[in-house]
Amino acid sequence: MSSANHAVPADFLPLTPLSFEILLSLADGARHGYGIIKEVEERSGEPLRSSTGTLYLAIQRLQKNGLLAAAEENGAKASRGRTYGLTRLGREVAAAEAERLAARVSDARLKLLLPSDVAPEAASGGHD
Amino acid sequence: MVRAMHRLLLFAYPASLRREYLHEIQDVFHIRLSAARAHGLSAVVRLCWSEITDAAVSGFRARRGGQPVPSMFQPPAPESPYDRLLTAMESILQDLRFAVRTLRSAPGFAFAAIIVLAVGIGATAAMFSVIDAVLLKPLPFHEPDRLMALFETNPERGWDRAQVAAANYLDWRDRAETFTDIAAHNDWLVERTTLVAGEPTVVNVNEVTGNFFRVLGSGLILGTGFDAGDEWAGEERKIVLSHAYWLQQGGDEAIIGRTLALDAEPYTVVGVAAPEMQFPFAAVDAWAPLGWDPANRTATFFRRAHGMRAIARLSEGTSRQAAVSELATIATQLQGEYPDTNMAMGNGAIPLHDWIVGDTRTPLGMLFLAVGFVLLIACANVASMQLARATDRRAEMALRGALGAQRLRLIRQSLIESLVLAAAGGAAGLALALVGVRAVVGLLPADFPRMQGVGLDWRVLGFALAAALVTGIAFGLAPALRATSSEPGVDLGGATRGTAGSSTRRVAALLVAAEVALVLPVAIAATLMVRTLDEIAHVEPGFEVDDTTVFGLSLPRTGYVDGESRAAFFDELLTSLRQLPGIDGAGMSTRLPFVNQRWSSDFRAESWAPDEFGVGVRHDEISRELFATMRVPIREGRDFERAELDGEPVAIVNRALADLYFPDRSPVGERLCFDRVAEDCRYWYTVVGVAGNVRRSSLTSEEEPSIYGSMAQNGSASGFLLVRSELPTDDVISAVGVAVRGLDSALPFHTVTTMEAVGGGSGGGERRVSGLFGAFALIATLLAAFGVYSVVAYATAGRTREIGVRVSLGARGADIMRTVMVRGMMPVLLGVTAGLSITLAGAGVLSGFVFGVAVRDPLTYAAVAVLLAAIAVVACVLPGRRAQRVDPVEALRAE
Repeated sequence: MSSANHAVPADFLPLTPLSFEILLSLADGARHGYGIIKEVEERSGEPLRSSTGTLYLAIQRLQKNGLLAAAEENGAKASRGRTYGLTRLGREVAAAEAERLAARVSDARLKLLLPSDVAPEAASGGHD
Repeated sequence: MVRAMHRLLLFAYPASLRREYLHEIQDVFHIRLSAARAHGLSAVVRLCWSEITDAAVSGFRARRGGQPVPSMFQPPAPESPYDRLLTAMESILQDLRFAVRTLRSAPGFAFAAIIVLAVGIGATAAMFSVIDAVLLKPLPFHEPDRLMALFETNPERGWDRAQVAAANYLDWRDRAETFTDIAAHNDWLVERTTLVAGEPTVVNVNEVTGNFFRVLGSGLILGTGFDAGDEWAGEERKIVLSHAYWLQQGGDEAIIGRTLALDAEPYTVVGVAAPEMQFPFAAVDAWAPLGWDPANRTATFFRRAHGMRAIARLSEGTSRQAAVSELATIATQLQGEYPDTNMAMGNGAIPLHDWIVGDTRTPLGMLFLAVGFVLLIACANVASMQLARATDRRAEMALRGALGAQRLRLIRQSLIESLVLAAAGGAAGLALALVGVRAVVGLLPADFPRMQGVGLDWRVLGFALAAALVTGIAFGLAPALRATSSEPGVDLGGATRGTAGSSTRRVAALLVAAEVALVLPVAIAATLMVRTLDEIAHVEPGFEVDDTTVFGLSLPRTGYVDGESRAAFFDELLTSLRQLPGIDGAGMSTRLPFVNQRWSSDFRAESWAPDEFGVGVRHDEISRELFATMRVPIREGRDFERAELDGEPVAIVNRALADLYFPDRSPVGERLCFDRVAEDCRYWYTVVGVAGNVRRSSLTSEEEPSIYGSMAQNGSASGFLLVRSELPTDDVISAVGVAVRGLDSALPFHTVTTMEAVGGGSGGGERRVSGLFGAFALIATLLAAFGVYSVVAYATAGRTREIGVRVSLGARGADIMRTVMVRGMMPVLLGVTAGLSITLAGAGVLSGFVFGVAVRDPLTYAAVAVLLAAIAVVACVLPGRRAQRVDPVEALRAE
């Protein structure tokens, strides 16, 4: 774990899409495995395409690298009531990846692939 | 089930993942699954699909220590063979996904193709499961290839594979060295009575030699069975129970050594047979030693009564040839030693499997051929549908080719699409087979051997899978080649768009011709069989089958020790039954027409010259008034009478015997005996009447010369009670029950049936096989009609532009129709010609199934050919009509 503590967020970039989705889903609090899937599906509006095993492969890897921490729930049988939360490093990596992606999105705007004005969701959100 | 399969899938992932997260992954998958269920079937399918494909790709990749998830940001490391495998897997998965998408975008085609394939594969799988169980699976005995069935032959008497006389069997056993041992069993079941919870019930016992189970090598699950030599009467009576009977009696493992009372005689249970041991008859409840009196060994009847079947186990390394010739040598020795009984008596041996399976090879083979034709027709059908689509998709394929897709890849894509269809068809076919197997088993004759093993197992599953795979390639390859053999310049140019190329048309026409050619043999065979049924229905059996209920009755040896008491019981029973209101007649016979084996004897008349004798006449015993009950006329003389119970032995002969042996005078008053030589005759029977002929073996066999003895005089202990009444069968059964119990409350009766059912059993084999054939023929015809229709409809639709041009140039509706008909019917007529030739060439195999019509009956052939052609005409008229309504303006504008 000590080596992970010295790691710099940039070492992990770019993240695979699934890893980023997992980190993103945990940004507002710890969740169970199925909670992660539900959050991702709600946000994207479509069923998660990865298999459950692949999801856990990603979780295992993120955990090993110190981006996620697991917490056992009281009284629950080990491994069943486990919730996952972002570590400080995980939060930093997620933010770095989001920035990286945002930069790519700006590039796309500059190349006129996307309309250059503010995204409609954000605009309507501001007026409310 | 899903859980177990999912657990299996997880083996694709590294062990460390399973160690850490197994339960969690399973829980989460389960929540996902139930959430998907709430969204309907398609969500479940999507979830399972992603679980499977994702596990295959990313699971294996992770095992290799690579990326957990395939990512476009991080391209894979340099190629290793493993990587190439992964890439290939991914691209095949991609093709699969693409195929599923393509098929979903053409649901009508996909649905039709899957249904057609399901019918073909389902019917074939159902038939295969029967063939597998009956013909292919080895017998459930130890080293079954070494088992032979032995029989006797006598060319002089027309005996072929006859039952064996006990004394001859014993001599074979003593002298033969090519066999390790020879066992024997009676060729019938004895009905014994035992009390179960106070109720008398029947136990079907087969009497066997002591070495019976050892020779078969059939395992007993409990006990040690009989000992060699147990066939001779000893102090203790032993019995081995069948597995089914043992379970029925509670399946108590402590049963060994207990006593079972049969007909109030104690039997010691020495074994319980393994479940698969149902030999020699499926209905066997138990086996008991024969219990021969040692004095029989030298008795003449022991060498004269042929009632046993012998089974031998070949010595290690001995050829069947050697065994057969050794047996023949022994037969010759016996002919010399016992000229009186063994004159012209030979013997023979065939593998036991052939013996058990017997005559079923031909009908099963024919049915499988028919069903194979159905599958081929289904393939041709789907192939022509694919061909039509391939033509439509040439532009798409050309575009993909132009964009750089390799032809091999396009062919693979097309083949994978066919395989997806075949897999779906195979799955649906298995579901159909599940139902179909039951239907086929129900339709096959009840006495068909080895039917208890029929069912869907992994062998059938494998067969269906292989069938689906082969059909997928068979119907997919031609269209795949067709679709990809394009020149981008031509196909993208649009000049040929919507028109089938001439070579495609040729292939389509050949497919139609093949379908029609395949339908004809099946349809003709079915028609011949239906006509056979019609002929059989018009055969006069010689008695009236309606309104007759049949009961089996068997008097236990204890309580009815002598012939007089048995005769008295039956006489009292018949008398009381005849007095009941609504009962129009009652009589008994030791054997039922069509059901029971024939017993035949030689006989002689007292008035004949010493060297004259009659050979192989049928010999049954009956009660008085049986003929009246069956409505068999007495042509001359009279029926048996009550008064002659204690008098001189009497007999009735049938007309066939009278005509054959007494052509110029009446046999009434003649004295007959069942032996060739007058000096050997102990009983002389005086003929008192001549009865009408009764077809006793089957409706399709000749009437046999028969002699009827009197049950009452011979003191028979068991037989069949026939009761004629117009009352409902249930009322008759309860009336007979009351009458029987009134005389003996401990007597069971069994095998309640109706004479109509028994009559249905005769010709039943033909009826059932032809029923199956009819079903297959109907399916084949429908499929072929659909094939003709779809090909013609497609070809016509493809010529919309041409037709538009011709209409605008002044062609009339009739001209358009004629063109469509000519093009549609040419391949049909070609197919009819080919099909008729095939059928004529192969008609010989039908000879055993056809009665009263010729296997090459021209009328049948012509009628079926014309009918098929007429169906094809209808299939052409529908698209022709549509072509006639083509609006030339629209048709030309469409291009």
